[in-house]
Amino acid sequence: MRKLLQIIIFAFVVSTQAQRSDFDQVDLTRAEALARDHKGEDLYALPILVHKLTAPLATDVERFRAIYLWVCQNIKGDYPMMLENDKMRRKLHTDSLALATWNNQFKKEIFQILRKKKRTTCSGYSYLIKEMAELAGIEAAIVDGYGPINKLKIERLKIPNHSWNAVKLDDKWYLCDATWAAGYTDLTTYLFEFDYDDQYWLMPPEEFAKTHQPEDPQWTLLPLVQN
Amino acid sequence: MKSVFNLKKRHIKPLSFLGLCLLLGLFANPAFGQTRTVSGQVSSADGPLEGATVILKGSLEYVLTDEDGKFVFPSDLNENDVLIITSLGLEDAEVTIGADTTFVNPILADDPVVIIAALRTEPSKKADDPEQ
Repeated sequence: MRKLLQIIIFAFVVSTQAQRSDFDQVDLTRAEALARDHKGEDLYALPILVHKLTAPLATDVERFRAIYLWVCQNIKGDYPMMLENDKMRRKLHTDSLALATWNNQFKKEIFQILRKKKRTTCSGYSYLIKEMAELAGIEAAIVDGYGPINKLKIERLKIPNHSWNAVKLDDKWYLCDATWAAGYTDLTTYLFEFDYDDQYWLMPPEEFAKTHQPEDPQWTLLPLVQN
Repeated sequence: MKSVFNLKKRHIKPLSFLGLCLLLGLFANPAFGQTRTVSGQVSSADGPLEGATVILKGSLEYVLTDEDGKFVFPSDLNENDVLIITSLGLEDAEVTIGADTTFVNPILADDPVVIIAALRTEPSKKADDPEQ
């Protein structure tokens, strides 16, 4: 009986863990207004941008909201770059040395384009979120893993194809995906359209796991199942 | 004409000692006379770094490096001021301005990142069903 009770309590605790409703009582309108006010600013002076976005805000969740929203509303997805990256990673995935060399070169290109043109792939989104969060004193991590896109199922992906973020707010880890929240690429024109989708903001881990499978299962934030 | 400061010889020694103390005191004071223009060159493992941001810690003042990684900080700096140097994809660096620093050459270390990419190709209205 006691065990059953423990399980029930555990299940309850888990199901109420780490989701956006934890912050229902926090008013995010000020954070959202700050993100809007600084629309169009560039990335050259990142610490100063973060300061402008977060200094007037009182809580970490507000500060992170301003950062996340700013990134989602100002950084475009770069589809051709994603194709190039995918092609090379597939081609080189058995040759770790060549892959590392290529990654190193491509990385420089990616960050230069991100800085100059505010265009990137998901690694750029998650890197930027982590950098900006850390500048605001919020712990954040990049999570690499698998995400089904273009009707590709998770089981068919051999190598990680996506990355997103985990963020620690009030001592609890939460998940979010700025890449998929920001917008989409219209495949008839290859142009990026901003189309903010709020469902990826601190999405409950059970829901998140349906579309995101991290390389390191710890980052599902779900209780690990023993195999 | 008689001097207003009618110094007698026996007064001169202690007075000049006092003057010397005052003078030394002025020079030892870090807030006095030590602001100077600071320039520098920022590099990464691949050489000079263009477009890095050099910020004076605790202020909103900054400057970007030119194509040779060089910069001249727009305002004069004091001893113990700290410059933060950042560039996307690289680790940050901090440089503390010393008693007679006028040139700095910080090197930003590599920040290991694996580049992967997956972008959404559908408007969000259709994204409700993950199987689509």
